[in-house]
Amino acid sequence: MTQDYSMVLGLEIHMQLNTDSKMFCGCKNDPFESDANTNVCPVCLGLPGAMPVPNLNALKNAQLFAHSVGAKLQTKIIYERKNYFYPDLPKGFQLTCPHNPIAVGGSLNGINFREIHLEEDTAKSIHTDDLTLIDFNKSGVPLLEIVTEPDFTDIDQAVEFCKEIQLIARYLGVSEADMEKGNMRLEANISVRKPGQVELPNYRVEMKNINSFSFMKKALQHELRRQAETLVNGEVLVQETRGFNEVTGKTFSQRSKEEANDYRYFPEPDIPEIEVDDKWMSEITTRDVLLPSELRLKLKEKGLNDQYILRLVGDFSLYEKYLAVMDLGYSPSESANFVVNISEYKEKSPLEIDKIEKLKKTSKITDEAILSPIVETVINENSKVVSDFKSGNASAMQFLIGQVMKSTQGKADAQIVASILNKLLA
Amino acid sequence: MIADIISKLKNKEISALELTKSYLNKIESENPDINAFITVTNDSAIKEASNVDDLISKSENLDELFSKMPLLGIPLAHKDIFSTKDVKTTAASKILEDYIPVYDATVVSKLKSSGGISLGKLNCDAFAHGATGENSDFGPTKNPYDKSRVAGGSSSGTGAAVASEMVVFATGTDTGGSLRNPASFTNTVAIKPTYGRVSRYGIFAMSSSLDSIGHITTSAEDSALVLSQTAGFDPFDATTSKHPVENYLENIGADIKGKKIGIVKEYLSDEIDSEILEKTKSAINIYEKLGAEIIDISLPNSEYALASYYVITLSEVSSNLARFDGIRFGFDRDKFGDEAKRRIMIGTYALSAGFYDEFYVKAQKVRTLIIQDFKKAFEKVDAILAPVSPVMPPKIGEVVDDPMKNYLMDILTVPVNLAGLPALSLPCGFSSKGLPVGIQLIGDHFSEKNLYNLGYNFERISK
Repeated sequence: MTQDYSMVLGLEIHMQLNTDSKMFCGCKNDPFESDANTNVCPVCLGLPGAMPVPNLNALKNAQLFAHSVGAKLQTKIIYERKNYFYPDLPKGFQLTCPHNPIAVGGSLNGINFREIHLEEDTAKSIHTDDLTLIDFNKSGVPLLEIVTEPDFTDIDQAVEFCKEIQLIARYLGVSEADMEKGNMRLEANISVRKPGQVELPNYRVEMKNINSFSFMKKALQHELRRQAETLVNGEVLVQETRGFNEVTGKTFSQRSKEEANDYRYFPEPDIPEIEVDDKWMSEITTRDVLLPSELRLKLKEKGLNDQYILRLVGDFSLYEKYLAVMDLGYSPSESANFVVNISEYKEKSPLEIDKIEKLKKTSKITDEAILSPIVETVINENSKVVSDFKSGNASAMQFLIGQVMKSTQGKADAQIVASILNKLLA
Repeated sequence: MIADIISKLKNKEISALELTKSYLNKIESENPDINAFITVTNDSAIKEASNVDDLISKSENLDELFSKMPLLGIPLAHKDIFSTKDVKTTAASKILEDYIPVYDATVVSKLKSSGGISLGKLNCDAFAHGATGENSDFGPTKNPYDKSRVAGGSSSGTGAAVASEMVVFATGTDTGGSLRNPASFTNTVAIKPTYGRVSRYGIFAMSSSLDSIGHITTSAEDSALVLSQTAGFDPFDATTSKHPVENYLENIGADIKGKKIGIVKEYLSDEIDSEILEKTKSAINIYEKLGAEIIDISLPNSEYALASYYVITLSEVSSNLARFDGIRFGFDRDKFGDEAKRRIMIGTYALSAGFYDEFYVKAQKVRTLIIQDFKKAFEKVDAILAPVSPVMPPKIGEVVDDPMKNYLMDILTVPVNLAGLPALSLPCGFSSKGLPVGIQLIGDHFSEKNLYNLGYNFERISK
């Protein structure tokens, strides 16, 4: 049924930037670790008379991110007020740059960006049985909004795109981009149309509060199916916001279009237009950064296999450990093997790994007279494996060598053990 | 006046405590009648004054002390929309009747470090909305020259307190004439500085792109001295300028021979009260006598200024008042007065989808034209001379129920705010009924020093 329709999918990704201070005041930017309402001041509490002053570091980090993902930086940024009432919005408006954003256009892996904004996060509401508490530590945290065009053709592609965005943010060090904590939040706009139809459908369904990649995949798969079924049944789809219930595995309507806000945008008079001059622009565009895509190529050139590359690129701290191990004189594949495969080395530092490896090398048992009795014991204790070996199972050999290694704490010379085994079992 | 007081304090002819007490006594006797103060901070004022006396008695170099703190011991007061730490700040609205700020506005702390002693908080139109002071939820301020009349607005208490000598000077805000108008109604001097010259941080925003922070004094010299303390870049206000603060008192009495003063034909229409026109003409004569060159100029887009002003200001007001939601401080929104509600409704409408281009965007275009008018004018002249108010101070109750009449009182003052220019309002004698009349000198951006020079010379002849 879903084959009768093609998907139209665009994403909105929000990411909190990890600058030292908040977006428009000097308060510490630490929305998760501190006691409630401790990182607050007149500005982020929206007290009368307080005025926003834009955080240039946040702007520059946002620009660095936008430039790195391939979006086109703009030379003029204008903050505007998005007016609406909500308890977690102390000023009664949110500052954002909808019409003159940080970046417009450009693309990443074939997906075009519509725009990238830098705005302020709201406070956090905590609902208890009989009251709602508000924590303003999150109020005014720099929040990046990445809006794509509806260019995704399948759901896996969208998930991969989000993962890449997350990775890039982490590589640049501009955000922890942690979905569980809420540093990174996803929203998807999804609709369907007949294959070959060029114009966009006259509705779209906004999926909010997507808090993990697996949730995203399940929710979108379900919603895609639901939309196709609805059309097949001859019913009409409407513009609305839907949530996804993981327990029932179904999406449900949260808000319909009729309740849409009129945000009454107008330029924030307290923040003069921000002109990004050539010097500023080149400071951003010439900064030396490493991107995951570049690292993938680099590791491939070193001859590493895809599995190693996936693990090392996906976890930058693992990559750094890999580099440190290489610095101690190991080959790329040896180093990758140590940090990716050997569980014993997981908690060990590169220097500790090196120490163990050196110990292994220097104290290797090569004496056949010592090894032969050990090999014999292993043969006697593993008669089943031995018969497997004799019937031609090559991996049985590996197992037997492993057993010898185990009883010698890895000190036996594997080649010599193999030759003894071959001799004894011939 | 400030200079005289300072020299008396320096020579120990009077103590700061005596000085403060004499002003507090004046407040006690006059204020019940005038209603200039909402809050009087007796105790803290007396404590601060004693501290000043301590400083003076312990000082080994009084010249140095007073040059570091040029307003040491001077009694002052703030319009009640200036945030004052631990001192109730109501905006003259019941919605904030119990609001006590946790911080000082930049100007408040600057004047504290200059040695000024605050005697309290001054009445005004609620949230600075009005031209007569009658929109205060704490009752209208009365004009010291005729208590049946208004003292002007919105900084009504500022003008009345200075005129009736309850303070030496007082702070206020001017969004569309809110300092110049009360100064012209109370025979006092007001400065509306260049937009961005004085920090707005901590002062309740009325219309953020127009609000200008100034003060009312009894002379141009005092005004210059106070501005030298309040002006300057503030890291907490992104719209303040890094343009250096000049020494406004230096050569304030210099000859003004040959200076070019523009007279705007559009500002001298028949709609202006005839006595005010007459007084303006006498001011022109004084400048001619002082050797200034009088030049007729035109600001052709003046007639659109008021409409543009009200669209922009009410739009901004509707957004600025959104934070008064009664959640973190203050009372519920039903405590807003009629004028605030009126402005929220009109402003919200003007910003709504489908109307935004027709109103807000168009008003900003008009604003650009008005800025260009002034720019052209200042190619020809050093300053512009104009009346402040088109009418004499109305009787209390006369215009309060007629918002249009109230709004029209700003017709000669709002163009200055739209263009972000500085203006100095000066006393220019009295009408046949004994009511004060004011004129204003409008200058190019950051030309406050020139305005003070012109104003000082004018005072010498007209006083």
